[in-house]
Amino acid sequence: MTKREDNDATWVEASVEELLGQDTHEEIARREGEWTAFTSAVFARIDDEDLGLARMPLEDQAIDLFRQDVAGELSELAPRFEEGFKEEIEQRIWNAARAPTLADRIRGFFERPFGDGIGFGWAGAMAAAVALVAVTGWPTDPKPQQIAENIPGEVSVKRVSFEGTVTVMPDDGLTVIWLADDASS
Amino acid sequence: MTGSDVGIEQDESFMSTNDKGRMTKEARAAANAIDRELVAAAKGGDRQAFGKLVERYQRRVYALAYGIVRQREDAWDVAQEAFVKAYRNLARFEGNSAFYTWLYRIAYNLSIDALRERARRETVDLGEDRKLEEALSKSGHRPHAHPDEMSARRELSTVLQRAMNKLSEKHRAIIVLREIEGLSYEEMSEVLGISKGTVMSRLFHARQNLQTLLSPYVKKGEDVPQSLKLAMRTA
Repeated sequence: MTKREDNDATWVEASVEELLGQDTHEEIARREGEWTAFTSAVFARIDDEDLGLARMPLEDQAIDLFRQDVAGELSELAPRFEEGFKEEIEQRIWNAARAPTLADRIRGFFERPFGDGIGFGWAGAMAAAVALVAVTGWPTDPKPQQIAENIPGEVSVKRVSFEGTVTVMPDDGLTVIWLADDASS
Repeated sequence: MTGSDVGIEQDESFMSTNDKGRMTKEARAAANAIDRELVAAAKGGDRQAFGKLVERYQRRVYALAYGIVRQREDAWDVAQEAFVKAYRNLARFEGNSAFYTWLYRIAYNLSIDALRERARRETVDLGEDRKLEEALSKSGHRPHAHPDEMSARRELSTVLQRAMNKLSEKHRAIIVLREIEGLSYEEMSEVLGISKGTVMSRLFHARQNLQTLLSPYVKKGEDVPQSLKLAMRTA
């Protein structure tokens, strides 16, 4: 602590370090005479725990020891969870988002000029095509669009005509429109 | 070696401090060597050796706990529990770091747990907080003059304690480790389990927050909160 004179007043100055240090020293000094008891209390706690453990059934002892072991391990790891865990997860998400998918990699392969110094050429291209077929499957259905039209629940309306008798039957939120034979064309 | 074999003459090197009351590098190296011997003996089941370790560090561990939890009885309990935990986990201590940084880490974790537990069971004294807020928010307003230097220092200390209580637990802990325990960045990094860079950045922000909370008392010209100085006018 220092003292400084201004024009009109005296100022007391102290650093945070000095003030905190002094406060701690005072607190330690207030505890003087209790430190022997402190050491005894530590051992008393240890002994109490040991005694409690010894009185437990064997199964509970094993569980308690396991619990202590896990707690110790977690305590060691705690700072890593605090600091690195979130960053690591974020990094992994970022890396996963940036990593090209299999389709991207195959597309990229074909977009690249063949034989560009990596020794592939047409033989490589054929091998890649075979690999692509193996991955995606050979297109056996000549009209894949028709499959979509036949998916249950989807309606494809080709033509609408109101030339004849129409009966509208609302039922359970579903509207069914019956067209008489002579009205449908 | 047994605990009783570690001579008190050697032990005195532990108390060798520099002008700031902190251990010198040499004293710390000597203390580490003694710790290693005591730890090895304690691992072998020598309770007396562990008792010596308790005696060597009880004040420091209590000071750390007190600095963080800011409550005497809670700090006393945390400090004792830290030694019990250390005893239980002694086999886990491989000696890659100094014993005291390992012990401090246990005490730090328990202190944080105690704070969180207290926060759960206690209602905050809002009235007291509001008074502090009002006092501290009057930026630029110098507190009233005091009749003597002693009471001025007392008030500075009280204001600082209140500001410390308002810091987050992490910021408070890092200020305690640095300003009270005098740990180096490397040591703090070991105790807190974070990188040296994070230690430096956290310490900077902690000091900055402290400076903001103490703005009416901060000595003019203290821009970079490296060693914050507070000032108070006396009568």
